[in-house]
Amino acid sequence: MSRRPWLRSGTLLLLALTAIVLGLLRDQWMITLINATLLCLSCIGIQ
Amino acid sequence: MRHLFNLLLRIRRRPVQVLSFLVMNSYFTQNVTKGLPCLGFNCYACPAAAFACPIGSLQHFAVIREIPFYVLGVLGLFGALWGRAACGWLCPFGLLQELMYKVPLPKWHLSTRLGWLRYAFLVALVFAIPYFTLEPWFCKLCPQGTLEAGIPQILLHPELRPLIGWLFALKIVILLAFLVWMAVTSRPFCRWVCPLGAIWSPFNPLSAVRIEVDSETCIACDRCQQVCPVNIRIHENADAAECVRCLECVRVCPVDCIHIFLRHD
Repeated sequence: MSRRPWLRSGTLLLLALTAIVLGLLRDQWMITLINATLLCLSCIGIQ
Repeated sequence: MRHLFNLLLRIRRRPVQVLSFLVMNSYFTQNVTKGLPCLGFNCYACPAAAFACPIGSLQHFAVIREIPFYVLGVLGLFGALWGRAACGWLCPFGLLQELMYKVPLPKWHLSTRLGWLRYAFLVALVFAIPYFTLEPWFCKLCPQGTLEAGIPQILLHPELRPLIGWLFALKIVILLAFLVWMAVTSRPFCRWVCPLGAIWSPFNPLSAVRIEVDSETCIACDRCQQVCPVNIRIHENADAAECVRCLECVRVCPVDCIHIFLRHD
């Protein structure tokens, strides 16, 4: 057992939060929203 | 925190899974929440979907050749807190697999030796092939997409029916194959295929909330393996990548040697 057992999960949490902020700054929330809203016909098997 | 975990052990998992399915497909919140990746395998092309499928979103970022910081951040945040717990508690496809396994058919117990396949599916079908072909190939084959989006969209939009081709037929065959497999093997999609599980698996040994087994108290009765939906021996490896953190093992342990704990406890 590590002397600072929270270090790895703490670092991961920080990294995840940084990634979210970075993604939001690059408008990835909007890209995700638009992609999720538009129906991709080929994805549901319609050619 | 110990009290919180004790409370969690008293909560029945099935109602939480059903509630999660309903929230993920709550329709009326679509305009507000669809930019948020859901914590489970739920197709965003489903007419009622209220959140974005994280795997569909990752493929889209591969297609537009942009690093998916936002989606990976949301998934990483949950993974860092609780590993693969969303697979066991929130995923609608996990719920479907557990319900299908209740069908009274002879059961086929398989070892999880080929569990690395889900990493191959993640790399190939979610990142590499969409990046090079500019097509979301995992979505095109996804059985959950067929069930939640393909079939309902065809039923709701008759004008789409003449456009059905070989790809739709292939999707139906894949879905039927998985439904049969789910009825005879416990959670096969989670164990060998799911790319979302592949993303969360490495978080199991690193997450803030973890499972530990007191090896001195354990009597190796294998009761935990019997109730485990992914058939692992938690007393041999509490951080197993396949573990979906459903906590069934904690509940049934006759000598109370399996615990959940927060890292700083």
